[in-house]
Amino acid sequence: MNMEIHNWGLNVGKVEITAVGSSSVFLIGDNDSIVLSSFFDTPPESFTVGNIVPLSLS
Amino acid sequence: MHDRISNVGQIYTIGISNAGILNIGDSHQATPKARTMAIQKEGPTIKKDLQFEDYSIFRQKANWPKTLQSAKVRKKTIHHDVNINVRQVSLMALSTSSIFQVGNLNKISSEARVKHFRMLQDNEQN
Repeated sequence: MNMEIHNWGLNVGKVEITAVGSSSVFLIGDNDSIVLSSFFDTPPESFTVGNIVPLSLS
Repeated sequence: MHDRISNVGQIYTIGISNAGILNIGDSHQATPKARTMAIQKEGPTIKKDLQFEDYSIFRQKANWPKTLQSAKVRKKTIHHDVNINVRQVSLMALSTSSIFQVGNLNKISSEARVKHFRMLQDNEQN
């Protein structure tokens, strides 16, 4: 696959980010290759049968 | 090859903690890694030393994608204007081995592992 990129500048006014966390990257610039991997493990008892709190008030 | 220039007018950040990196300038490679144990515990907090090695989530091998030989991509980049301009960045928190970089960063391979614990009192076990 041939890919040709023409850059005519890049202008961003304002960036507002609350948090950048757990091995993540906020990059203003060029990059070749990004490989991200994440593992996540929740305790079995976090699955509770019964009173499920409604997420929305509908 | 990457001769673009990042210009940032103003950076406003509140907290950089737990091996966070605010990098202004070019770098070649970054491999951030984070191992976290999040513990929600009821009752008195007693000193309990949990070891990372005891849990398989921290021992598992990360399965990095094999470099896709099949999708041979020939990339040609032409910079007519080398500037990347950002007027203002406001970032509240940068933590747990994460990176905020102004400039080029060629290779990034990052890994984050989180294990959650919930330790309830025995009498309330429903």
